[in-house]
Amino acid sequence: MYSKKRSDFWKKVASIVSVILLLLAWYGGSTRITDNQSGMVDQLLINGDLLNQIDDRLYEGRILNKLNPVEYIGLGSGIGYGGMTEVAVTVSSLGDIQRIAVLSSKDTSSYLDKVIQSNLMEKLLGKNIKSNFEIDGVSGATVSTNALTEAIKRAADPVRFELFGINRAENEKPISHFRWLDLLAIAMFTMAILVNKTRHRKKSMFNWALLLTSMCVFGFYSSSLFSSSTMGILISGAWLTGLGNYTSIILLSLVILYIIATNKNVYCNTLCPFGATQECLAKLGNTKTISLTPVFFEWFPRGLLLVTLCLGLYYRNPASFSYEPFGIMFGMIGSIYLFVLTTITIVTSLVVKRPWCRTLCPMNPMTDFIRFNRQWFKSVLNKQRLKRQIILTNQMVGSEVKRSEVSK
Amino acid sequence: MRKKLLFIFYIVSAVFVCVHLGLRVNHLTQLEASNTPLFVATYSEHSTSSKVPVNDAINYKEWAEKFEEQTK
Amino acid sequence: MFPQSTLLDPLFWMVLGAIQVLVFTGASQWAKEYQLGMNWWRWSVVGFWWLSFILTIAGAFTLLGENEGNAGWYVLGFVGTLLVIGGAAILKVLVLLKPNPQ
Repeated sequence: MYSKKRSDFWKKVASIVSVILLLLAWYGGSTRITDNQSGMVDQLLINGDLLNQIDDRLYEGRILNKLNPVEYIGLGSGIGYGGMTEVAVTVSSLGDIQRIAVLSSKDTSSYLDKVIQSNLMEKLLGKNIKSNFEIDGVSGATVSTNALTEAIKRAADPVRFELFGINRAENEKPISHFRWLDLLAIAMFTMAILVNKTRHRKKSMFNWALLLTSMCVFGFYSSSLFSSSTMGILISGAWLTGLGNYTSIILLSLVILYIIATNKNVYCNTLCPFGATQECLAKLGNTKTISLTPVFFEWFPRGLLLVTLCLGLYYRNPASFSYEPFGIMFGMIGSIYLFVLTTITIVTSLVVKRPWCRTLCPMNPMTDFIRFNRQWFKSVLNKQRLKRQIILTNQMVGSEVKRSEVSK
Repeated sequence: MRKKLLFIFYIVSAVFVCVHLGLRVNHLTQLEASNTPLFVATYSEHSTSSKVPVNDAINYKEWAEKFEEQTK
Repeated sequence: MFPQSTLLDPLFWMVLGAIQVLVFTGASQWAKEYQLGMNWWRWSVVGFWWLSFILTIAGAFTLLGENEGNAGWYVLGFVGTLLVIGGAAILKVLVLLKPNPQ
């Protein structure tokens, strides 16, 4: 009993410290010099010697003793996976694209690298901005491609208007990024709740059907399962300015709301694509469920998630800080270290049931945090309710006693 | 035996995750300090992807003329 | 794997070759111990799997030796993992199709 009270005390301390650290990381990030754009624009001049700013999205490059500008630099942004991708385009005085530079991106670097290696930007060099240009997508990095494409088009807009007086058609609105997968995520989450509540004799079969569908659709088809970077995007508010893909955020939000409402996590056993992969592999091998009991193994993933979220807030780039094997497993995108991690997780899944879920998955710390604070909040509310009841009861008893005395 | 395997998996995974995160922090810090764009693509007149025709024959002729002058 | 070394390179490939001998001589004993009831088509499947596995390891380490580090590790990680899963699947099938002890 005493050790449980002591354990609860430390959990309360950890919970408060976590929130403080996240707030400090957020504040620290805001004090960093993040707007390096104007410094970078200087480096993008090709023929000009002097840079003049016309407005916040348009610069002109001039040569001394020449009347007219020799080139223009336009700035534009597109909505990517983790936030805005900023691009600058250098255009000659005739309207030909001379240089394209990616100034900053909130997308996972592996996706951006894939788009860059596809020579997407090189294909636009030399084209004239007077006419609309279309760019081919890069499979496996659609969101990042769309962000870059939109950013380049928007960067060309102020230059096009300055040179030719032409305005491009309407910019795409953030709402246009919603798609059928988002509706499917809501529908499958609802089905997951129903499957978990049901006592039907084929409950296990329904569960497997949901798991396999999720693995195929949210895993291999769209790679839109949520991760620690999605948690970072949610708490940082980056989704408020628009995201290229809302599916993972929608799934995460539904999971969190359901845990707050009912204290249950239906995602891990019924919807998680990576969990489904591990379950399939577990069926192949003769696996057993094993847990590691020392306290360190419980607290290390919590610390890891906290550090990851703090780094995402501090650098204002949550998409850069994710450590799950999902990107490699479902998209073959990620660093060599995550590749090795994915490989050993898959091989271990043949022997131990769901090793990733039992060890470093950020869902466990997130669920524990929400559940603990929910229980704490409920206990505080219950205590207050109890106090009020006691006061009311005392008042009633007091008034009864007075009435009986008066009647005597 | 399986418990040992899970323990080894835990430690190895933790190491890889920490290395990966450390490299990400290092990369972002360097990026900020360098104050250079993430990527720059510049138009070159001799690029095969440009719409300007590449006049290699004329360039070669000029080079050949210069070479003859030098070797005279 | 070690092209710069006149000692380690042949040693590596000799070890790989020695493993082959151990596996070939031990496989039938191992199958008898677990009473898998091996026949011609089961041995063909297992043999094909083992050949793929060895070629993957040889190919990956050859790439590593040719200073194609990333390619080597990716071949080992990607194809190797698929083969390990395939091996587990084949083992499961062999165990399921085990003849009943008489």
